[in-house]
Amino acid sequence: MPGVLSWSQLVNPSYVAILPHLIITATLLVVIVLDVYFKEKRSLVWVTLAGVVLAMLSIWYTASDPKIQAAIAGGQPLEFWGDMIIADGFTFFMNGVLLGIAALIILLSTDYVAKFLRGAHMEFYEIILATTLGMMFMVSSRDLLTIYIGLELTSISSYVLAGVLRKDARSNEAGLKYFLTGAVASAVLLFGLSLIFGATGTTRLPEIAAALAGGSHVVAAAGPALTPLLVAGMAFMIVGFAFKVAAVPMHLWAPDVYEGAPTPVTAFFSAGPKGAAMAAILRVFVGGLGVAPFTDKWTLMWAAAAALSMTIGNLVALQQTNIKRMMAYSSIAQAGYILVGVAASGLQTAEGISSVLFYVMAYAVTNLGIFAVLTHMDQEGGWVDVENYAGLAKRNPLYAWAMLLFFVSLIGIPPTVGFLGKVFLFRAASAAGYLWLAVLMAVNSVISVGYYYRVVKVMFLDPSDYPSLQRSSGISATVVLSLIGVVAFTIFANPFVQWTAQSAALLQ
Amino acid sequence: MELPIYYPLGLGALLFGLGLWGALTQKNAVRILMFIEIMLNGVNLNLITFSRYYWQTNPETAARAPILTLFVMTVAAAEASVGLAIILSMVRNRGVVEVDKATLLKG
Repeated sequence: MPGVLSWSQLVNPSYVAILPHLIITATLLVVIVLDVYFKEKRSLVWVTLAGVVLAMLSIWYTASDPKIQAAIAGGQPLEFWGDMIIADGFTFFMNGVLLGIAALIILLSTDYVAKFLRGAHMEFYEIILATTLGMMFMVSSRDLLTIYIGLELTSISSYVLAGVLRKDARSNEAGLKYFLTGAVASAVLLFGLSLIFGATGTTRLPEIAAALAGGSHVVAAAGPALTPLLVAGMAFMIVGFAFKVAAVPMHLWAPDVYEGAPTPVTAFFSAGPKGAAMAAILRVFVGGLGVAPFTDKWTLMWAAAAALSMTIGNLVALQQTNIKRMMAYSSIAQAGYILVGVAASGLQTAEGISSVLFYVMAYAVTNLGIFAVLTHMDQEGGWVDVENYAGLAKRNPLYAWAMLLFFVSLIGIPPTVGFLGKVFLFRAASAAGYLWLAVLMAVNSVISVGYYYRVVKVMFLDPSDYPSLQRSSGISATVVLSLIGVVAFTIFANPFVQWTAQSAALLQ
Repeated sequence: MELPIYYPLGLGALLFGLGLWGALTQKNAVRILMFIEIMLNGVNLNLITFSRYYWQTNPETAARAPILTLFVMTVAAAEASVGLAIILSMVRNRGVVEVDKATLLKG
């Protein structure tokens, strides 16, 4: 960017690496303080949103700085805390996506929070910011320590969010179930982490890769006698991460938590922590464990998880009557599709990673649009069953047509962004030799038509005596933004494809 | 006398396994929370043992495990406080701490 002063001249460049994290932290603290003094909470929500947008702008500004670009291209990306946090293309891309998710969640939850969370109005947004901060640390770290801390900040905030409706027994139960299962999964992941440390003697991902590849001047080589320890560590970590992305067989928490949690929180769970955990999986497995004899082992495990998630998620979703529960199984199936790209990234690194990044972005923008409509229906009359959507085409034509487009995108029918994402996943999987997985993905897309079509049929064809919906500007704005996103990412997909490809090249 | 590395590692695995068994079989939410803490202690013992093992060969990197252990303990405290708050609100609303009685959500 041809400015008068560039960031690298103004401040110590290493702080630029965590600039968006610092802005989010500052916003969090400012909001906590202002919360004490302001009676009018709705105006404070805009402060929160402004902080998130400012963090996004800072990413754009740093990512387009020529010196920083040159440093990244030269293989010396900015780092902070002694190489624990790095600012490479992968970080910029995923942080941008995660902040976009946070911004949409803040926008779509304004009316819901004002109506149902009167006693804890700003606490909701503070915890959303804290979760976002944890997710950003997860995707930008290059050390198992910081990845673990980011993951725990995300998880612990998520437990609170799931149980945020204190008087509501269903929300309590969702929080309790999420907390108990999530804490066990974190401990399992941590045990895997300790075994990986035991086999390599380090927690830094490039050094782990060096130890696996035969040692360097910092770390000794991990000999063949340590292979069982490594494989056990990998398996434990896969179990832990599979829980965080709600992949089969660690998916049983998802339907209950998605159903019991407040709808904006469900929207957040389905996009944010899932996408961040996918990025952390890529960091750990491709960046740390992606060395030849070990790659085959973890790609096979992730491929199995992907196949099971897609099939079971789609088949069980067919039988659901509660739409939040249906979307929970739908998101399990979508996690399966993304894991196809994760499995492929072990063998076809660049294509696999860029397909995962693109699909995470496409899935997040589409799913948040759907959940915006779900939030409106929930706050208006507690309508959470599929049959409550009868006649939505007459009650609110914008929502009905937008939902139709989002469903088409989730199924992967051309010409939508979901179709493009699936094409990239398909190409990566077949290039990596997982043709059976790619074919299974196509078959599953056809199965998923069944339950999405049921909602569309109810919305457009079923008669209804429900009243038409009231206005909710935040939710309408979210739906329109998601629509713009789905259309824009389809028509102008090329820059994003190139961006993801560059990010993928940097991770190795 | 040098302590064989298998002893502390075996104890760590035993603690982890005991915690996992308890967390999966117990009904009382507070009890599950305590078993989760036992799992984390097993992990910590593992990390410290490995760190001691690598102290001679990889001195630069071996120190990271004790640091991670400190963070694990801090996170465990944070997790316990959030967990107890969630359990408490459940008890206030419904009067139960047993997980198998939390059946409002099907599944």
